[in-house]
Amino acid sequence: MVKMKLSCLRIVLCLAVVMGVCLFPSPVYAGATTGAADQTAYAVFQNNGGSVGTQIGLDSSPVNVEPGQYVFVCLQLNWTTVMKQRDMKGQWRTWGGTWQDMAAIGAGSSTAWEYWNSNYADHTVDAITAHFGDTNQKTYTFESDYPGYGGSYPTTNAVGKNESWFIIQAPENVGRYEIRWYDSESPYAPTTTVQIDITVVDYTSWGGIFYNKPGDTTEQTEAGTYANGLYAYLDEDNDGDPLTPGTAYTFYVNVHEWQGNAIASGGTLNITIPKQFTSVSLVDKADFYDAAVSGGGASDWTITGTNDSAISNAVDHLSFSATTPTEYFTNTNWEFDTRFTGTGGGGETVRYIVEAVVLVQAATWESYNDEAHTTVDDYFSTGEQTVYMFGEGFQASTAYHVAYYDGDNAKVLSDGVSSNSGGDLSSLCYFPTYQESAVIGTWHAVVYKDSVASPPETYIASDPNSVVEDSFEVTYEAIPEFPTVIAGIAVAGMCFGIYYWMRKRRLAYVKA
Amino acid sequence: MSKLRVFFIFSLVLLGVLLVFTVFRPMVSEEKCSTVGRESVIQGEDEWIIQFDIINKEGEESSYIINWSTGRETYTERVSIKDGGIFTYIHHVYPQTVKEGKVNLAIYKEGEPTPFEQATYYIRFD
Repeated sequence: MVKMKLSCLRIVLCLAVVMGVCLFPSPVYAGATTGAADQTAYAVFQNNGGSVGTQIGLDSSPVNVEPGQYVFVCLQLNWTTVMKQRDMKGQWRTWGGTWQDMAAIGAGSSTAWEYWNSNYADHTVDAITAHFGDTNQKTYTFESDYPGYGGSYPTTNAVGKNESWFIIQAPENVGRYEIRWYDSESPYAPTTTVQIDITVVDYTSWGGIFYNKPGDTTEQTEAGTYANGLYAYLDEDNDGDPLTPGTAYTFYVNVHEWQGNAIASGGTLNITIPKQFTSVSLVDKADFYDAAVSGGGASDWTITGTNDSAISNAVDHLSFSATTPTEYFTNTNWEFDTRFTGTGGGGETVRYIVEAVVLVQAATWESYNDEAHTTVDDYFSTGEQTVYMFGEGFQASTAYHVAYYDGDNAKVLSDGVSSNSGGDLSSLCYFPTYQESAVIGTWHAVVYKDSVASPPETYIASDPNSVVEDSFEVTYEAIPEFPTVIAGIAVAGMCFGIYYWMRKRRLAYVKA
Repeated sequence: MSKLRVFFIFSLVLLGVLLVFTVFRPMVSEEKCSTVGRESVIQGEDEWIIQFDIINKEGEESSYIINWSTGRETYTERVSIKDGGIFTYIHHVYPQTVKEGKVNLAIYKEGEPTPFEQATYYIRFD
């Protein structure tokens, strides 16, 4: 019985010891926990040659960046406990997708967000100044790269608000993303309360069209332009080249929600298109049920429509087709004034304005010495008896008159010819036709509209009635004349040759 | 005198005459006129091309008026050609511009009521 009591007492004591040991802190992780903080603000900046450049968008507002763009991200974090590993890790996901760790720089992934090497000298702490004013340590900055475990973050004074700077590279894939940072120790902390809404937009794919990027204030004459705003863009990748004149393009206008809040139905979208554009028509107006095109001719075109439902976590689209202007012989910018006025979630008036600019390639008119129009030539001499005129960017299937004027400014040829369906115009002049009648020197090939009664009888420099002109030199060798003296000598030579041949034959016959 | 020698002398005389003619042009008619030359009608790809030269032999610079009519459109071209000069006129005829397949051309010397050249081209597009 006594033995039994002793055994029970031993068991109780053992349990007490175990429980007592468990009550003491671990000697290995004595009191350490993962850091915890609230993310309170963020700002994104352009990379300016390795230094922090212009801010993109507004503080704590969604931003747009370009594929592969390096950006500086400044976070203001309110740390409530000290980080364990004193370092942070970044994550990203496509909008609504699954979180993934940011890849290390040089991973070569075109789809993932990557840390940029932050060890450049000009990225030192001194090169980065405080962005947010409300910090405990306004001058404190912190760079992080991945994997950067172990000790970059301060061991002291880490509790409270601090600014942390990161340099990251956007993926090549366009789309809307979210990015965030957290203590590198698992389980991850802090649980971020604000994440960065960042959209990768391929501006360059929009060819000659440009528009107000979010945060660009240059055209904000009536209202601010917001990250969730108004966008005008082109339907195809032009690699930044000007658009081809006389060509139909589809243009898109997107209306995004306003600062994350819905825009009520009933907003009005207005697009003004210069009258020099032709064949303006709506392509898709599903989100703007009453959209219609008016104007044209002597007036600018106008597209007006109303969004038929609220724009909430979504984008309303409208697209239209327009044919670019022709007969402009310098590259020309055309502005599409695009405005949307609606009502935001708080009943406020939301005004978006985008001055989209379309750059259209100049039309051409050149002299060539070959029928295929491969070699531009402004000097016609030996072996070049024909000038082949060719140009692009004329009105399609339109009648013109090409008048050729010789070195004495006299009209020697008029060619009534039409451009083809692609707006190409071609004509030719054969110089030997004008032996002994035309004058060598500077010739002009001038294009007139068919509506002009007649190209003038003599050349008029920079004729306001002409569409375009080109000049070229015509030399004597390009108009080969067979002089009568040479002809006479040739005839005499032939006569002598025949006589000599016949005489030789006769003598041979007599001798025989 | 052999036939060969006769031929030789004849050749020399002919050559001399030609040389004189080419240099002094005694064969050129003194008649003053305007003519149309090198007239051609060429079928192109989905077009007809009518081309001609106006040659001024009036002995002075002259002005001309070229009138085109295709049934759908008319066109007038004025040109001044110096004496001995040539002016080439090319007119491209497209299916959409021709009504009833007829193209009328009249060339006037300025100040004269009747054309010195008049033609009707019957154009057919397959």
